[in-house]
Amino acid sequence: MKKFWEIENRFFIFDGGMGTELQKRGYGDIDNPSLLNLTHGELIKEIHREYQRSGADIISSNTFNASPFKLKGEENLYKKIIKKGVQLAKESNPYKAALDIGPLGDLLEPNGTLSFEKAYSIFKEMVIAGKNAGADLILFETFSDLYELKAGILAAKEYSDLPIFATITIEKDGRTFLGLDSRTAILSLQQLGADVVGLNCSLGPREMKPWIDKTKDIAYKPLMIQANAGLPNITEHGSRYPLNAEDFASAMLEFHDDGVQFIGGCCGTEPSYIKKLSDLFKSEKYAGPQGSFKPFVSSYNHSVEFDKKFTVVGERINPAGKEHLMVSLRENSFEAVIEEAISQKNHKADILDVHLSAPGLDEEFLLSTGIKEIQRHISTPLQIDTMNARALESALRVYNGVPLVNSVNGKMEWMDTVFPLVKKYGGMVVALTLDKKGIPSDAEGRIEIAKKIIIYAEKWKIPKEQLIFDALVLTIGHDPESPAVTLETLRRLKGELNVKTILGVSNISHGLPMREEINRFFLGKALDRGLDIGIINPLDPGMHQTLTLHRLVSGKDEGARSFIKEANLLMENTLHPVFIKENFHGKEELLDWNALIFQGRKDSFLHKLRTILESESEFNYNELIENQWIPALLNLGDAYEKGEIYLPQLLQSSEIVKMGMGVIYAALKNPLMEKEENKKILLATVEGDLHDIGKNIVKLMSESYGIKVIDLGKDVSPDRIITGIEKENIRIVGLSGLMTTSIPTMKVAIRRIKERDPSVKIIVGGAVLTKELALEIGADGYGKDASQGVQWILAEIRKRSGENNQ
Amino acid sequence: MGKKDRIIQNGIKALRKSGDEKINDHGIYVSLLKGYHDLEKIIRKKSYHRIILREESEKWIKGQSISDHLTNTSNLIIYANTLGHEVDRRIREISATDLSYAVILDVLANEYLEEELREEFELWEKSYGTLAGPFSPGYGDYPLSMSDRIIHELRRDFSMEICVNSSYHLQPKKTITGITAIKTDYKYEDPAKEGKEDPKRKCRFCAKKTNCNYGSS
Repeated sequence: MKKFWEIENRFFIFDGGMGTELQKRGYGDIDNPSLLNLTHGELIKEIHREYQRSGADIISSNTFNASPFKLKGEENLYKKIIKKGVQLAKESNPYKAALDIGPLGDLLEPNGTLSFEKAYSIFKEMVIAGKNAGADLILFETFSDLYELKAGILAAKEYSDLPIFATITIEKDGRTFLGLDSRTAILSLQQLGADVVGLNCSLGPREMKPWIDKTKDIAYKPLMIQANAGLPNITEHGSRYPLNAEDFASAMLEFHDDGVQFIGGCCGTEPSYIKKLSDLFKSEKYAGPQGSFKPFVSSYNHSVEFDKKFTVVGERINPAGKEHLMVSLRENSFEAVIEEAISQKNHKADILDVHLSAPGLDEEFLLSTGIKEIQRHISTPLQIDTMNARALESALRVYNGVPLVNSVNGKMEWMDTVFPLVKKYGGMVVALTLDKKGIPSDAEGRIEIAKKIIIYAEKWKIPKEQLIFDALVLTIGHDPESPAVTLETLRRLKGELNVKTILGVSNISHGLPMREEINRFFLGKALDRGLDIGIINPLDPGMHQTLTLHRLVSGKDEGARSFIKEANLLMENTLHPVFIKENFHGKEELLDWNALIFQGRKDSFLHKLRTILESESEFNYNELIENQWIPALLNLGDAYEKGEIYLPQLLQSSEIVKMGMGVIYAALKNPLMEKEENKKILLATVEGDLHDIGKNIVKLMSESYGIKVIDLGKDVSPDRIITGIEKENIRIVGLSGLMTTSIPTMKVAIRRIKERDPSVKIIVGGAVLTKELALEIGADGYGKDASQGVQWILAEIRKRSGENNQ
Repeated sequence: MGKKDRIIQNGIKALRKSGDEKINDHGIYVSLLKGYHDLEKIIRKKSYHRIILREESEKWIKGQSISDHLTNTSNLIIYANTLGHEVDRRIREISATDLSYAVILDVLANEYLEEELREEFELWEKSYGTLAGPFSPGYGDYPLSMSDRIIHELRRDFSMEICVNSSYHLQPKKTITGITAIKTDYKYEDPAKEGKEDPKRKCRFCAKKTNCNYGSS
């Protein structure tokens, strides 16, 4: 069914600022203006009427601030306020009444503490209240956070069939306060299911114009602008806006041919402004959106567009063949996943594939939690890689942005599972050219499957531009003919179907020697056939060199700039091999462990360790740790106490030993962690305190001593600490807090722990604590700094080991 | 000394207070410099302020400390300054792989925020006249909950994404809220010359007064 704006091919006028009108009438100091719906309904209705009489087609309900988080003390009224607000808007007899929803007033995780599901459930109640009151459309306006908008749009889609309008508010540099750029926002919001998208507030029309210019080519849905009356000046009488009605309307006219169909005002605009807009736009014909669908993926702040350049997908977040990842995931720890993610991002991966499936693992939990954890740390867009429908839906729901879904294939039942999910949550889809009969042995068979997938996707209104086709790479060892079939399929996918293509390049060399060389060569061949996206190991510099060289010889490197930049870097690294050798693996190798740790020489330390592990078949790791590394760490602690080294050095050296432990764990399949239950502690920064650097340092140093640390993080309640102790059978607890206000909380936590089991030992630390205060609140120990804290923990562990051995 | 140098030098002082005696080492300076340039790329600084007329100031003056601080002033200015969420995220990212550098970034971000506030004060003084110093919730007996009140009040004029959680922590973390006021009796007196500044005064009320290595007591 056609939407109202598709039937009437004209511009639609929204109303202007509500706050400005309230101020004029002496209600500028109301704590939350939405409360006026209940107490001063006639006043609100009169403002709506004035806008309607001035030519506004669409009146927004006075519900922008009707969020429980903004109605402190009157949280329960928000549904009532929304119901009344929509009724008042409708009573002003507009062409359409919009349910106006603003940001909730609390930040979603990871920036804040509000969970996605909690935000979703509040939006759900708002949508239901507005819909039941008769709203004609839902307007999500003035958002900065794509994740929050996603929760709102999802609720609107699931609990109403009303048109969804969504606008973000940007600053002069084209980004929202959370760093989301306007192009990514427009791309993502259209894909998430908004019907009309655009910008409002913060800027005047002239400041918004450049950002609309930069997005109109990707706007295939109508755009909307609600600008301020210029940039405000702060005065003793509040904000003052520079543009009058005439100037405002003529500046808005600049958007006439940009695909903007909905226009209105925001802060500083009044009915006279809307009247001018109406006079200028009402009789004009709307020429339609100016853009088209462009394939992309996005995270919460940026997007990767596949039309712009070759895209690298990092393949390394996959536990297959990676023991350290497997060990970590079995313990529901995402530390290794995050390290892989950061490392690939630092090696120029544009997107990261996330595959967290293995026998015995709960994929649904791991995939959704892993995605949240990765997005907490980095902003690289992700490729959700699973063949488990429940895991896919959970992951799509929590993903912040628009992901790449890996994958669909020609099997009907799987397409019936994946396409509805993609339609609901948004996403580009990798389409494998296989079906229930398996992988066709020739290019013709694979092309036929691709055609079938395109036709079937159209039934779900998923255009072929949203599909990325995988011609499938099989190992040469399995079938020497297969690379030729893959390359031919690739050529035909590009030539005949004109679709985007992707390949898991490394599969080609599975089970063969010289894998990296084969992968690079095959990548070059695939690039010749027009490959758009490669799932590769970004840590292999040879792959990046292949990409650079291919751009150079195929004429895509303007002025050979990329090549020259890359070549300069390469030459810098090869011009001085003697220097590097002498300094890196010559003299430093002669240094003992103590010196390497003390001087923080990570590369030499790891080089030495790996050399020993490779050359000595019966390596005595206990001897190394107990007699070499731990004494070195003790020396380090002493030096820090004496002021001979400083904090970053202490951390750096501890980190090196921790990395060394990781190498040994991986090589010996984690013997220490399994055996030494005594060497386990729990750390937490207490409730109400977010300062966790001290706690993190203790964690790092403890781990460098081979102690297993259960880290509950910061702002941890006594209940969570007790649960952690019970779950992990903890005997030693470390609590930290920086603020004076943390001490009472710490005291409560200690009392609760001791009531449950007086034998649990507790050490506390933090800037405001002293030894006397620590004892006074019931702690067993006090660490003036991290080094002293860890020494206390070690002494306690030794004491307990002694008791257990007796 | 320029802005960058001031921030780095203050970073060195802050690291020294965290237990570093040999902070003049060239290596740490280079790390701080690198940190400064990293921060410059990701900071999304925002400054919001609102003038509160003196006759409406009662609801802002809670407790003795701020009352003392705002003696002989007229209209108040409430403000919030932030470096944005990307700084928090970057520190989280770096903490996962390089804790020592994360400490440096954290320290520098705090100093950067202080420096931004100092610059804002200079601008406000040009517009409004001499100001009392900055005063934030949590100073003295001024309750932390006032951050919530300040943010709420600023939201009347600005669509801003600074939030206060249930423990009154600000999000983004590198955000500062506060209150100042326009002085009515300003007369410059050199504290050193007049002998009026008691360097130990501030330490007297500090929780670390008994174990601080750097205080003047």
